[in-house]
Amino acid sequence: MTLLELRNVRKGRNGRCILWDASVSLDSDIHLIEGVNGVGKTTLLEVMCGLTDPTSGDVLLDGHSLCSRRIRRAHRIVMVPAAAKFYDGASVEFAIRLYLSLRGAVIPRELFESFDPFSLRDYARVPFGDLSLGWKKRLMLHMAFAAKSDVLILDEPTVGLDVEGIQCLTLLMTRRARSGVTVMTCHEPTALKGLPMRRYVLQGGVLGSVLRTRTDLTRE
Amino acid sequence: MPGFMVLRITAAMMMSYSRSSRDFFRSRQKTVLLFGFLLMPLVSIPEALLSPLLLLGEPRVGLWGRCLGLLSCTLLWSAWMASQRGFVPSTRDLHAVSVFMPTPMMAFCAVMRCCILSWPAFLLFASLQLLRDESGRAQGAQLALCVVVVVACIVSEWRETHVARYIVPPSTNASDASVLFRYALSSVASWADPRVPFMHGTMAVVLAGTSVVLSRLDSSVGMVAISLIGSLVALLQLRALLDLVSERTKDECPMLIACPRYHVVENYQTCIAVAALYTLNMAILAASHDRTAWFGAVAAAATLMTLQFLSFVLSRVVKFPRSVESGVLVMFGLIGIVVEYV
Repeated sequence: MTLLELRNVRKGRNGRCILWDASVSLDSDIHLIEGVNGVGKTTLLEVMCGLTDPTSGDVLLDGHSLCSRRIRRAHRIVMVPAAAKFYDGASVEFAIRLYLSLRGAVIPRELFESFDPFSLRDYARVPFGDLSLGWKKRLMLHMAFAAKSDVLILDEPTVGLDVEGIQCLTLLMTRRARSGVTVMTCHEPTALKGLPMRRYVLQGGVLGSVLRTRTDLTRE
Repeated sequence: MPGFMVLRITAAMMMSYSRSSRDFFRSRQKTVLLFGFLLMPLVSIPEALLSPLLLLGEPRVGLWGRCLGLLSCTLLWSAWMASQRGFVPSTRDLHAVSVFMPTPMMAFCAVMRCCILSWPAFLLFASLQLLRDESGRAQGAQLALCVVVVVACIVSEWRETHVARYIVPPSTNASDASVLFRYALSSVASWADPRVPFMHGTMAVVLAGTSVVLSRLDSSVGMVAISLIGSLVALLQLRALLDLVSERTKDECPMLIACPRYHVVENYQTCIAVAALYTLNMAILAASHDRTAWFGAVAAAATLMTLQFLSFVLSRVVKFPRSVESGVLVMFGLIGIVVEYV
């Protein structure tokens, strides 16, 4: 079982302490981090995936520090940022191939043959810059789920998605619920109704677990 | 120059070497706009005029003048880089404005953006104009520099919409290495960032200076010192280019930066950067020489290529902090000055 652990993580920016003392252990399940705007959710996710180093404290993946051996650990972590960004000139197909190549994943000859949950096949030759926000978001989620990972970090994954897209996302997350750690932030968790997840609240830079766990949700 | 301004420039220089400077300048954009684009150019004109004197080996300038020139060069570079990190005027980001702004006005804004961002290159160009020598070498360097600036500015705008699309065509049969290499090629096209002409401008001035000084100096020690300065400038160029590419990738595609094999792309980018820098610098060097001195130009370019290869190895193996690079540059610069003066 994969275990992502934060130990007394502190992170400052612009001389202001954003994360004060975030400590939490996340096992193979879906974890939702909630909090008001600007409280540091995205910063926390960036620290979790090793995109930025914590000012103090440590992030452990299966007991090993993420900060010390980043390249090796990076094989196991995938992050989808909130903003749908990629090179405007790259086509959908090239974007997927590039991302999978960079992750060292096996690339099938027919890219959309075995895995196309977001129906991207028809947009294969369309440049990223010409896609709408929703399709950009679909592409990024496709890349994230196509690259097999132990830890999946999603920052506001529902932004820009239509009902069908959210349904696909819910289905994919449900499938991988027990096979790896999924951490996400979402201001509209009701959009992902039916998805069992553990909820945490980030408040004043301190991450605290809310009493509503997966079992409680199932009972509800 | 008022002491207050010296302190501000020094502070800007110090901050440009720390990682937090970007955040600092981002939060003070108005100050940066005023300081970086209005006051700094005015204040730095005398120093900017002095620095080519140093690099061109003008014999009338004394030791203190040369030291001041080198210092001002470093300060100008640092303050300018610091100011650029925080503020990049771009109409593309102002979607609300672009809705009602007519196309010619947008084009005008794009041209203005290039002119504003490449002002140090134009300052160096203007300084070189004042230092005509009889051999015509400086004029050759001026011409090459001017061409570099113009081409880089044009490509900068062109690249945004077209280059990536043509370099990265969709292909179902592409191999893994091919995909990564084409991506590296495409991302390194962001050299056409308007900041880059200044780097090439600095290199062009160094090369022009080297070519003039080589013709006057017989001392092999002096030549070694100048070669060292050239190599360090090449190293700085390379590091700055790779930093730019990395920054841009982080802004444009944060998903890619976190990938485990991103270092493969970085290696490709470095090799491409070395090859392109070598070609560019050789062209500038050749242009700055008389037609009869082609042999010397090729020999000097070969030396430069060796130095750039060493820079490449250094930049990949040794990750100097910025302050160390700057310190080493100043130290070798001072050695060069003293050796040349003595």
